[in-house]
Amino acid sequence: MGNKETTENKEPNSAISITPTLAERVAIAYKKFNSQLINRLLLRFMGLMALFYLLWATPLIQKTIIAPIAQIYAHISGAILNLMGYGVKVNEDVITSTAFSISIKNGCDGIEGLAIFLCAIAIYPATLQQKLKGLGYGILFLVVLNLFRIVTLYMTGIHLPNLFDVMHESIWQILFIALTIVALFTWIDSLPKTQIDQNKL
Amino acid sequence: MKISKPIIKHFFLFLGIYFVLLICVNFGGGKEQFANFFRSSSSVFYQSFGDGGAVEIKPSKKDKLFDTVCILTSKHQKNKALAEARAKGLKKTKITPVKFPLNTWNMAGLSFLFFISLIFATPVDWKTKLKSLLIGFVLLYAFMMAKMGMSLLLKFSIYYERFGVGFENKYMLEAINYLNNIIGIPFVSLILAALIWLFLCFKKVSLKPKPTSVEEETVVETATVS
Repeated sequence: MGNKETTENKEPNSAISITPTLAERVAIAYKKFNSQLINRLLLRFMGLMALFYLLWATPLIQKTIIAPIAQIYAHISGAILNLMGYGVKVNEDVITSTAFSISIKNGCDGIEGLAIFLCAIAIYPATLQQKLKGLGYGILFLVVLNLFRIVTLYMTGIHLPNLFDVMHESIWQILFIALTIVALFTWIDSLPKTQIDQNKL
Repeated sequence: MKISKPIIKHFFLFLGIYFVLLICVNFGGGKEQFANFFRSSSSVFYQSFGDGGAVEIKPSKKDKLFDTVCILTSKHQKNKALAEARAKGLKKTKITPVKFPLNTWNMAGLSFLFFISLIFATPVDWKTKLKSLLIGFVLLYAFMMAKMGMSLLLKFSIYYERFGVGFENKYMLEAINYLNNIIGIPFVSLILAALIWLFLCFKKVSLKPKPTSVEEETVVETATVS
């Protein structure tokens, strides 16, 4: 009798062992998630963006790349503002006049927008020629957009100082990221229909 | 490169929604409501921090740029100050807390508003919109709290000698500072909001390539043969 009971008890136990373990469930969920191309692309994009930020935050990159870019932006924006008659002086990344001063710091240099664009183009399925064309248009667009942002922010600081914080924090940050996404979608839209099913985007 | 009509349409829809929400938030007391929500949430998680750390998160009325102030103290600091006071024969003593200001709107609120606008401007059904909003809010909230936690850990670690909370190790402090520099940027929150939106709302999009013209020709030939 004792032996029988043992045998009977074993059957349900062996049935339980078929149910997937937590690790197996995670693996199944990951496989399901990974089966969609959009998820795979976004994961790759996240990986590249994480890599970008890890490099971006290093003192070496900040000193050798980010700071000079901010200074270039300051000089070009200063030149545009002088053409418009604002009479500004540029010192490193600071645009200054007797009326108002702004400094081009992290977040205002447009590098993150460029990084989003670059990483998205890098992971998206397209030919090298299409990617280079997209990069060319995209970089030009984002650089012009950032110059426009700096100039308009300076003008806001001069003419509508009460609105400067709203323009700086709540409007231009959002506009910049939204327009970067628009630029990306426009590039994707420009790809031949044989490669991307645009109707579903 | 021409911009297609649906992209323009949805971009302007997004802008419309965003500006309406921004006006409501700025003039309808939304910023204050969010700051209150941020302070109460952060207090729940971080009122007591690590091994004896204490955080008081209060509204800031002195500074126009910052709506919140965090005041850091610890048991270790209080005990040390009391011991020193007793040694001097004093009954009472004062401790010096560390204070740092926060702009909760720039730190977290903006990403919520951006996310809501993206979701409402996306042409998906209401069920997907509501589901996405719910999941997105949870994820953005978790990120907001992680950001706050990292910021507090950094501050406690910088003043380790005073508080006895956080990390004493120089390399750990540098690592926390490095990570805090990354996640502390407002743009990172916006990228995260955009990614959550893409993950949740574009799930049904198929990006599989359609057969190229060469492949189509091959199919025709095969059909002719058979």
